[in-house]
Amino acid sequence: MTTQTIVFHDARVLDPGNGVDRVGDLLVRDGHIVHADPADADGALHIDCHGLVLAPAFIDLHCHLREPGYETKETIASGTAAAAAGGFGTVCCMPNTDPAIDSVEHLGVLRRRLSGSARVRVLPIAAVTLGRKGATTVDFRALAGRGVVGFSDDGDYVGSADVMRGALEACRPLGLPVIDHAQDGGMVAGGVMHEGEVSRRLGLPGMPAAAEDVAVERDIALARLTGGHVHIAHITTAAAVDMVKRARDGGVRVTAEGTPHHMMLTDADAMSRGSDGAARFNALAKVNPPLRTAGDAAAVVRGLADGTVDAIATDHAPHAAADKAGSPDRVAFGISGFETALAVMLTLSEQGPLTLTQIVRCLTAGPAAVLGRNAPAFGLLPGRPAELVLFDAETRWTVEGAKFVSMGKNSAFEGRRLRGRVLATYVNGCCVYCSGDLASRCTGGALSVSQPASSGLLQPHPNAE
Amino acid sequence: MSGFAEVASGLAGRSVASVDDLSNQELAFILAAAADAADHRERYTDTCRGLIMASLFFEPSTRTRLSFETAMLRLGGQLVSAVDVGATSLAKGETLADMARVVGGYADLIVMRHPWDGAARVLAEYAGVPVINAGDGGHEHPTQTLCDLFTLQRERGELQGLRIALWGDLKYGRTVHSLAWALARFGATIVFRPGAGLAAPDYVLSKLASDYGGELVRGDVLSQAEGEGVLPVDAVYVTPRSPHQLAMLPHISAQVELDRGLDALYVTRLQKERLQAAPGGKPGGYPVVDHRLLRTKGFEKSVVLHPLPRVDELSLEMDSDPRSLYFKQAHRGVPVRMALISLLMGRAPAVPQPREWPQDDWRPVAHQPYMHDTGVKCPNERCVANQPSEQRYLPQRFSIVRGTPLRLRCRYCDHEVVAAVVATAEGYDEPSSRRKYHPATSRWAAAIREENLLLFDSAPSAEAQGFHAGADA
Repeated sequence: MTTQTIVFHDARVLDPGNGVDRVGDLLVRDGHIVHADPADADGALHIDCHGLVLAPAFIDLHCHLREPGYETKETIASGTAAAAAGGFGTVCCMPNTDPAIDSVEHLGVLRRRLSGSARVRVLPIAAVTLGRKGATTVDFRALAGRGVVGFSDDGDYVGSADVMRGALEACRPLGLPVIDHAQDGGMVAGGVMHEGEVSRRLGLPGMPAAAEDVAVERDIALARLTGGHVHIAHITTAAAVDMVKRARDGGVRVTAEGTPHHMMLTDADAMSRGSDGAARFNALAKVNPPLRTAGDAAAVVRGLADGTVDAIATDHAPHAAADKAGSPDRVAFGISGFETALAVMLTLSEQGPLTLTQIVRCLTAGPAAVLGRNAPAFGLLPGRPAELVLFDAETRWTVEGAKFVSMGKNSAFEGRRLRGRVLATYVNGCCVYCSGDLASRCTGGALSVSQPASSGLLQPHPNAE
Repeated sequence: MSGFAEVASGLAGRSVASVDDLSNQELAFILAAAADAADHRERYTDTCRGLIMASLFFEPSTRTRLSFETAMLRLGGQLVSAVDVGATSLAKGETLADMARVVGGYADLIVMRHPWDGAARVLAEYAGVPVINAGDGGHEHPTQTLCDLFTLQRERGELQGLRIALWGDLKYGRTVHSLAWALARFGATIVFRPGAGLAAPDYVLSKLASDYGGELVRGDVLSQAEGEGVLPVDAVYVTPRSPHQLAMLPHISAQVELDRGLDALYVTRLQKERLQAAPGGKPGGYPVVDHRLLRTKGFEKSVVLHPLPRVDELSLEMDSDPRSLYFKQAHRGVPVRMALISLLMGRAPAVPQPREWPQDDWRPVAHQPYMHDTGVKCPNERCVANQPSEQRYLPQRFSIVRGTPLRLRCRYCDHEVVAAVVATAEGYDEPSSRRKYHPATSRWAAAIREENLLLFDSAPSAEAQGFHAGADA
């Protein structure tokens, strides 16, 4: 915990989940937000936050940290450092690792690694079926008792409606969501990008929007049948957003998340022109589900604005350079998203209808509501541990994947001018990220990064002593 | 801070199982709407036409039920009720979850009184329609608290900075639990003056000390001599916002507060029906409020509230005293509940902004959820999670409360379990000989990451789950 006393001066303190929106000072002492007069803060570090926003640290419902098994793409250390740089204090990691997180033992492997190297709070999501093969369900109760926050075979759709029904029934009393990669497996097999005008022009196999629509419709029906909570991961089509809205109005427990890339980019961005003027596939924009049409992207943005889509999730999917090279059908799906998420959303908000308050809500209270009883406590209120992000919502910068903290340099926003940068992130009273740009605003010291309480960094280990 | 009008839309569709489900601005909004409903009843007439409220009373109640039903009828809604159903449905062993789903399909709103602590929380999770807690065991009674706050606000002009004594049965009197927590949020100074053996439960005081930012000093009521001009009190809660030198002994702190004068006395009756064959037997020494008391120094300006019914603790001679507000308080139950119901149903008319509007939308401190199952059970035998019918589906749920001692708080009934030993959740794949536990007072309690922290109520229970004593255990 940071013992330094820090005064954030003249910031816009914005915490929509707790009804806080004011311009003023915020004081952090011994890692906690305190009710005190900044004038009393002797020997404190003062940060001039004029024009900056102070919000609760963001919560990401969906990311891939790749450990264990794919350490060439990303490690827990690099992935969570990237999350901190993106303003995230809590991330939920998907179980499509090797081995998949489908048992208490495999969860143990993950937890041991997390405890040694995670810079932010990581909440594990376990698989729905053993080995993510879609056949035999995992021991939901045992995993829930060991602290997983949801179940998902992300990357693959649970093909059998019966298996999905069983999962929803088992998770209902546990109060945990089943997170749905909603895309009919057969319809998208072999696909590279959204099926439409652009895929036809490029002559590439497509993934139709209907594959998502049928999957969402089925799982809404199963949620209605079982009373279970289904969470639609990375929703992308206008029809699916509409279905979620209607189902929820009808009392079905369904929630949804949208990703920044599905909101800003379209299938046209999956096509680039070479120096010879020929159209070719942009491998950096290969993602599953694929980038859709402008109409779909606008529908997801509207869903976020009207509350149908609960949360902004990054679906941070880092890859090694080699995985993102080669022929379109061999390139891996995924976009490295932690470090551009906020800036993409802020850039999008320039065209409306999204507001800054809505964006912050969908990065804090929105995902917390999806997690329900397992949501981390958050809020810029006195008495709480400092868990916050300080960002500049105005300054523009150019995305250069090579400069990412993440090992995954695969950004679909490469070369774009985006608006807004994270300057500092606090988790549980500890500063886990601070940008060099902040130094000129500090007086009475400098902000320094400290590691959150972590048994792995202490010698000896609690299991060794 | 939220805009005034936005608060109303935020309340629509919500449940109120605990007074802490509401933020300060939401409480203030409900009170403003209640004032509006009291002064302009016609604006609320028929706002809930076409809606049905189910009132489920598993314990006898006259006042609360009648006031809820009157409120709904005044709003133009209709009722279905199941009164004193303790003998029928409970005996059949139907779970609360099943009942919630069934009744939630019939009605647009459920009001429930139930003998189990935390029952309303479970009902709200499963009903799919808003649920209002009309008393859950010895735990909370949030709508009574709304009536109390409304009365105090109307009579005194404002809620902030109130100085109040809670009087009588503070152990089983669920109304005082909700009220103490709510008042603390509005910067109140609270003096606890219980009858013998009826002190406020530890969990109520513990939550007051940890979640609301103030300071609590506790003492032993029995060790203080009565009749020496010293008010025998059990605990004093002092808000952080009115800095004041807290004395080490509560009766001295109380004396300091008394010298400044108490704004209000909140008197409760002895809850005979909840009194278990108590150690010590007879409920002697129940403090009585009469003219003599109200003439003593510090009490001259105190208004007197009582949730009613009264027994002997409130002398009849008090009825003619202008400081007695308990009948007014009872009559105000209807407009308060009209306001609450119409807001939860999203049918309230526009409410004028009150003079007293909290700038900060303050809420109590939230604690990190405890996500592991380490066999810890809620110690409260009346907790909903400890009932045989509910245990079949309802997991034990806790929050981690940091502080001394480190403890787990039940998310249904707020009772606490002190952690004896801690361990880490890493290494489920390792042989159990490698898994160590350590005293909860050791540095490991702070060193283990919160999401990995395992807590046990005793060393043997850690051992039963395959952990071995570390070198320091």
